[in-house]
Amino acid sequence: MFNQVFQSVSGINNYGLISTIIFVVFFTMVVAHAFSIRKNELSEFSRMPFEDETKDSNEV
Amino acid sequence: MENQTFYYDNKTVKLFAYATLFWGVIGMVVGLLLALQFIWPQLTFGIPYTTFGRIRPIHTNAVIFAFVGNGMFTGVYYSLQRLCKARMFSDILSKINFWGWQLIIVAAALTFAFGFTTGKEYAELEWPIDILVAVIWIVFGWNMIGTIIKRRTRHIYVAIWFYLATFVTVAVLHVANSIEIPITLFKSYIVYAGVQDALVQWWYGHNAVAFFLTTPFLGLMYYYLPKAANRPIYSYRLSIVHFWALIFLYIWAGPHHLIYSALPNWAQSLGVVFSVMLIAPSWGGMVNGLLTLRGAWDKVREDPVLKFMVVAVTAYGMSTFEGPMMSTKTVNAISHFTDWTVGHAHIGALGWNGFMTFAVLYWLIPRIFQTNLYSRKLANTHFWIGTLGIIFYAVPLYWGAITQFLMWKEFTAEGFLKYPNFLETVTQLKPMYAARAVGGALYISGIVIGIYNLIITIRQGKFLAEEAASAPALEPISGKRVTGEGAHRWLERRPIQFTIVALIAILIGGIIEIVPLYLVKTNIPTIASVKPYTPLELQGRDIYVREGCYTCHSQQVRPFRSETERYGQYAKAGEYVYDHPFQWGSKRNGPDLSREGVVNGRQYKPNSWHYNHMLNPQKLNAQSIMPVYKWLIADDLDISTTARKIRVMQMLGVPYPADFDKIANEELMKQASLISADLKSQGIDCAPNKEIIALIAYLQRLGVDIHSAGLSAVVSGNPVK
Repeated sequence: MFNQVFQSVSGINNYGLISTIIFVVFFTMVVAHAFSIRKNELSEFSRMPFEDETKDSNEV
Repeated sequence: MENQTFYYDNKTVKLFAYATLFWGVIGMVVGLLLALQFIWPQLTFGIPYTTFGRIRPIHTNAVIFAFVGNGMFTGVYYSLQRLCKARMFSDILSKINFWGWQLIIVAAALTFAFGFTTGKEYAELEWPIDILVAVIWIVFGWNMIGTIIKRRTRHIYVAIWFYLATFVTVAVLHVANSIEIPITLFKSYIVYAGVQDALVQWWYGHNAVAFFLTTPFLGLMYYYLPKAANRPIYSYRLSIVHFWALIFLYIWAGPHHLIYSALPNWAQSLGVVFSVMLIAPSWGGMVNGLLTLRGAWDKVREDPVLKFMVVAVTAYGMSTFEGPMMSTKTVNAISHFTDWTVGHAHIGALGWNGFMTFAVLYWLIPRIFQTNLYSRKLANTHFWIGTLGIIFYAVPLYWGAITQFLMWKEFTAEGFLKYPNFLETVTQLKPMYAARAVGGALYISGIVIGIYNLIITIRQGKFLAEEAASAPALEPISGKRVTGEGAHRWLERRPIQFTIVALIAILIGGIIEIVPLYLVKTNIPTIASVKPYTPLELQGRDIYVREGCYTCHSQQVRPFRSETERYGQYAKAGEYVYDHPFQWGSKRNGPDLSREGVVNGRQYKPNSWHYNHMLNPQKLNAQSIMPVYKWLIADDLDISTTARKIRVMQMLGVPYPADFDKIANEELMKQASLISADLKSQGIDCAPNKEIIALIAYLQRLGVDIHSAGLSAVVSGNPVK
């Protein structure tokens, strides 16, 4: 079945275009997420390597 | 929540750190020996175990998997515990991980020296060791994910994302590229053939660079650079985009190793497009690292750890700009098969991986030994000697590469190749090879100083095997998304789900590239005249693989006039359909061999020439850098494996007639007797059962099938119908 599906893909040369579109969609979602994070959260995450060992990390 | 006291395991960290230094020296000294063999080929000492083709995989595997691998484990085992505020999941798994990995390294070194190899670059390990690698890698992943699950922090820091992506992707790559059918305990055939094998191999090869040499070290950068600079990473937001864009894009870029090859053009184009796009996330990571030092550059002047890190990150930036440039067709046309690739790889290995490893060791060893670094001055000396070493290493190779491609491509006014003899181009490079060896020696000298500095540091300190720490236990919350929690935020606290999503991200590229090559038959047009190898040629091919001939000779004529004039017809996908594994090579220290057997072809040599060439290449041409292979003349060919090899080939779809395995050795001896008789007529007494006869048979077969002349009357037995 898979064989037939792939055989029927018209113009396999379009793969470059298809793949690029997949990436752009993926990339846009990631960027949107990155900019949706609040600054105080970002600051907290980026300080994790320095966190005091006794600090409570229970807040979500 | 109640505060809990626990202990970090520094013992495993220490063991991995020691192993890093030990294998670093071994791997690089072997590299130096290889560099010297370019100038003095007699440094192979005339024995098989130290010949170029066998020790080159020892060098590459020792540096990649032993030095960098142990360095990665050192950094991960230290940082993961602290980022998770938890001891490693299991001390037993940590021990298995450490000792198992060292066992793999020793097994690799021994088997390569004895000629047990799959013949696939950076994946040369034979099947039993491949299985061991998979097991130990799973142990590492199990230990890591177990630690993350029992962590005492809610959010999983971005460095750990890179560690998780490393684990899952390397597992996929290793398994997919190592599907082999055993012949004996240390011999197997890969299930893929020719073009398909090439694509899978370079999908693996490129992503071994991506997910073994890059992503874990980016994880280390995100932990150790802020620690050393004492300031948080410049942009956590950028690190998120960096992570996902990098792992998604990297996996597609493998085909850029096969540009202008017989690989279908659409796959090549995909590789080029995604390679160029890779600049963005790669430089995003580099910028994020360097900008972390904003306002702290004065520290770089004083602190050797930061010095190593700055050059490491800069080398990463240089490599990840150069790589995509080399992936474009225009640049690849001149850079491929030259020393440019070697220079590029070593900027990454010596600069990015090597310097980042030493930065981590200089930062971490004094801490686990509760002391200060013995001498900053020595560390600075190491830094400067190492930096000079990298420059002395790379610049001559870039110069050499320009010399190579200009000479390979130059035509006279009359339209003939100006340098038709490949050796003319090799001899021009010897001064550059000498300078490269000086660079390598400098780099190793720096490491020796570094090791001395660290040994004194260790001696003056007191090892803290169990480091006490305390943190509140993590209060369990719903595995589902809580109110106001976005999908990615949920993912950031769920290690298994995170790993699955990362797996999907990397599988998309692999599936889209590789699956059509198997399912769409038009991708690999068959050529009616291409027949399976005769039993003797098959045995000869295995000797070619065993000796690592692919490390210096390509079997891939690119569609350029300069190449077709020098070698003959350009490569076609259909001519490799019975090649398990493919042997296209990636570097031409010697000429391409894929048209070697075409009688009256540009590369054709008689049997006697091959015999004498293997016996003493310098006797035929004093300038040659080819090693001697006199054991091929002395050693008997092992024909006990012929029948099994034929049967395995049949399993893989090679159309040998039914029951051909039963008469394979009879056919083998017939063909061997013809070659032996031909040598006799040239005054050379060589029994038909010697290894050299099989190798000659294979070399004389190369390129024959796609030329209308058919098989050479002198070397062929009964062609397989």
